[in-house]
Amino acid sequence: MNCRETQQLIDAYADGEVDLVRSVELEAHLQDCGSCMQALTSTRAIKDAIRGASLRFEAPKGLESRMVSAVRKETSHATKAVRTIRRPLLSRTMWAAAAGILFAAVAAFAGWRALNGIGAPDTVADETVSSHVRSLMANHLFDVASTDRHTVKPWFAGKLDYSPTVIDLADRDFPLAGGRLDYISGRPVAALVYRHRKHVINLFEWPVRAGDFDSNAVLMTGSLNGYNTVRWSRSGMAYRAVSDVAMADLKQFATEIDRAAGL
Amino acid sequence: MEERKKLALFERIVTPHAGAAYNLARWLMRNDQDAEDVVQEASIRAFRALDGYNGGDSRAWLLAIVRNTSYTHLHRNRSHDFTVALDDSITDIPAATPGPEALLLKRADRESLLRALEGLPAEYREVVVLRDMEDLSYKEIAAIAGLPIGTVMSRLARARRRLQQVLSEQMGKELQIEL
Repeated sequence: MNCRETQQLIDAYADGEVDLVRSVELEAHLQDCGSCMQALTSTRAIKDAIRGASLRFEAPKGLESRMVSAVRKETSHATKAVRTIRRPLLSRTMWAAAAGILFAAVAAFAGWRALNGIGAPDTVADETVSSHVRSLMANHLFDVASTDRHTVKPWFAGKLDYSPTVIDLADRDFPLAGGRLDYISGRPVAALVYRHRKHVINLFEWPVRAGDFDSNAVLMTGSLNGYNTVRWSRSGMAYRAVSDVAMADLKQFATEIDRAAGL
Repeated sequence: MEERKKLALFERIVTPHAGAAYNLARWLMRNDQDAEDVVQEASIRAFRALDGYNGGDSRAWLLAIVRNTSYTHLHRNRSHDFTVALDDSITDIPAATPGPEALLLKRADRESLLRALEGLPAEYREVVVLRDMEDLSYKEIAAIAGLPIGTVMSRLARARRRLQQVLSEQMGKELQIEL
């Protein structure tokens, strides 16, 4: 390991977040390199200073009980609203107001869910993320390595009972790198590999099945074990992109793919 | 879920983390009143979301809600100090300052640390708070902030480099005055 690599990892090392193999390499370098050793000392100094200075803000007295009463107040409002709606002699305007409140509540809740990356139950997320990780670890990124979609697409013929959409986005900084046959939920699916700068994006494609969430071209985002995921469906095909690139980049990738697939 | 049972669950898994919730909200909002408001609003959000709580780490789950609520407020008040474009690349993290600064840092008092940390952009501040005050792992921080682990690593490194820089500048000035 050289100085540059060591410097990139020095904080993670001080935090005990570097895996065993790289720790050994890093320690070997530290033994021989005074300036990297000084960098570690100085990183540890700032960590110790923050920890030692007790910078935590103490919660004000009675916060717990105020949290509970905020929730109680909220639920009693909700109950009252329901009672009002159930009263038989409601004027038209009151119905409209109640509908408005209900709509706002549903919209707020939907907004909150979207904000928190929670959507319909995502049962295959684990599998696609694991497959992404496996493909990187086992160095089994492709069965067919080619940047030419006219090579990649025919390769799947006879291996799948459907023909995946293969799109090259080299002009958008997402060049196609190859394809791979993968197994998700017990059946073979197409996994397409794209590169974005130094990152890898796996795009999984399969025909929408019973039980699959059909988003109708709306992008649903999520993250699992530090990997970002975007899933959507279009024209009966389910798509799922997995990568460690920033969510904004992954969404851009998904939008480009969806746009090209819809043409 | 029945309302009464939900309240009991709330008191079992949410309120015990009031301290961590307040600390994160206080560091993100940078004043007592806003922090209190955020924690109360996050409590209501958490209560509504209890049905979807999957039994994982309840502290990390609550902190994710507190973080989202804080950012909603920061954006609404247009006070979000996202003025500097953040560089999140994993490579090219500036090298840690070697030399006597490490010794100087040992003398940094609470007040200057507080000011230096408050001066960082919220995205850098939060990773330091979650790591060095709440002792969360990179993986947990990544889940809370919705970031890849590599980004958590690079933001932490950059945040600490900036703190070192600010503190050593401050202390350099103080030393000059002393001399």
